[in-house]
Amino acid sequence: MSRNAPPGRPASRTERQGRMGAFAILAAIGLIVAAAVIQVSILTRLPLPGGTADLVLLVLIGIALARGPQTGALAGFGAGLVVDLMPPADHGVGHYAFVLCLAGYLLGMLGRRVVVDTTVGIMTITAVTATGAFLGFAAIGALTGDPRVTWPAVVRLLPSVVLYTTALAPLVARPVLGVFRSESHSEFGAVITARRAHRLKPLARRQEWWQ
Amino acid sequence: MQPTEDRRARRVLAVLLAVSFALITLEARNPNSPPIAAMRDLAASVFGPLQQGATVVVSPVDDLRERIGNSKPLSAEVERLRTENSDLRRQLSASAVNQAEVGGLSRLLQVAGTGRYRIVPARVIGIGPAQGLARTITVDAGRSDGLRPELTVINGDGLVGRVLAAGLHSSTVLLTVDPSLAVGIRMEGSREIGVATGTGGAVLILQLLNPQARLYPGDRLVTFGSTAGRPYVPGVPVGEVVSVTRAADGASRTVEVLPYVRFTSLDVVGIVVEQPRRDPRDAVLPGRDGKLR
Repeated sequence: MSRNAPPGRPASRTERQGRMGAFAILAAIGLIVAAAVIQVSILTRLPLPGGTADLVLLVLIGIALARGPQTGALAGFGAGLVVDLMPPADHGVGHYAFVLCLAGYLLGMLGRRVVVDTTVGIMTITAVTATGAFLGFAAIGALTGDPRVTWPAVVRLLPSVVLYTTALAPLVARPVLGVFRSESHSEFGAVITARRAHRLKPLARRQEWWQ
Repeated sequence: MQPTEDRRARRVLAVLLAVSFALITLEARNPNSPPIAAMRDLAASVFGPLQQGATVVVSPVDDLRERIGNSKPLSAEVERLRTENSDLRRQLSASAVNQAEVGGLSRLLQVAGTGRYRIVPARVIGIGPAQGLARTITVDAGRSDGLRPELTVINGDGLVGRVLAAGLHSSTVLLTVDPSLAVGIRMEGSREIGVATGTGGAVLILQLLNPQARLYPGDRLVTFGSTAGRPYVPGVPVGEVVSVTRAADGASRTVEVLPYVRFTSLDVVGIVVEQPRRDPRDAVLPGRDGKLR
């Protein structure tokens, strides 16, 4: 670690916590895009009644709980924008970005106060977040006059969406949380960062403006 | 450390929420505003190939399951050859079509032939999650295949929807069951005209221009056809009336129509790029025994 650390500014482990290395940023983007693609191309094909599990939200829960409110808000905004733009979406751009940005921030605040390590814990958080995200999304749709947002539609879809998303939480949100938590202050992140530091340094420095 | 970090996080949140709000307002004011259209187009060209890749990855899994279903004990050698076979098939998958697709394609071609529709066939590579509340799909054909917005989309069973946005190599299709969609229709036989509107659920709601017209469960409807065939070409089977409910006052009625197309298992669709010269009327509707005439 110290071998490649910039002179006069030793990158201690505590400092790295809460910040995203270039590797972690790429991993987060990759996971979010993969989740969004799997959702529309694979999950929606499954012959299950009602809605679909919100895979992107599960990835966001993992990232935000591990990395705090700032990263949570940024990841949520990005994830929401990907969902808004992923074909065949036909709702307005920004709707899901708004909802997930707020969700990521709140999850990040929560993650800083409590350490979520149990399956029941992560499932509870997922159930609450999925309900809030769905209702928030529907509310923005209703405010912008979307004819698709009706009470019957919301009531018909909400239970199945929350159920499927919560069921997948131990399989998706928990591993993501584990990886991002350990990557922030363990050998995994340190090793990769150290080995590639010389190549990633300019990129990492440029990203500091929002860090 | 903690307080400044919190303040920074709050500032980031405020900025991002403001950006989202600006995007929402921009699109709410003008759904076709150039920056947003450009973003969507870019997203279609980036995410389209990813969806195609994900779909191709799933297809061999389906084949495998089918094979496992009727398998006898297999020797290791046969298993190896089958794996090799499925690998080769995967390599071919851009052009190769599996059994279900062959069936879907042949019925599609039959419908297109009967109605004299010129179609571009396409595969479904993405289905909108229902919590988006929109009922939409992505197909793997786009502007480079001659697609443009407002074209009719059909399959071997009937009307699927219309093209909403055409990317370069993939397009978004709005399904008939989407609540924002209304299709001009004509009843088989009586030739009464009306409008079928999506509900987001499994059925459509039908309203006839003539409220006195007789309607019974089992009555069938086809598209009426729009000017110049956009967004709808005439004569495409839409569905069958399943229930007619009179309101308590007896003055109005609710007519539910079950579409012929099963929207939960769409696979191969055809986009009508050229409308027929003559209205096929009821010719495309299958015979009463369920077979195409």
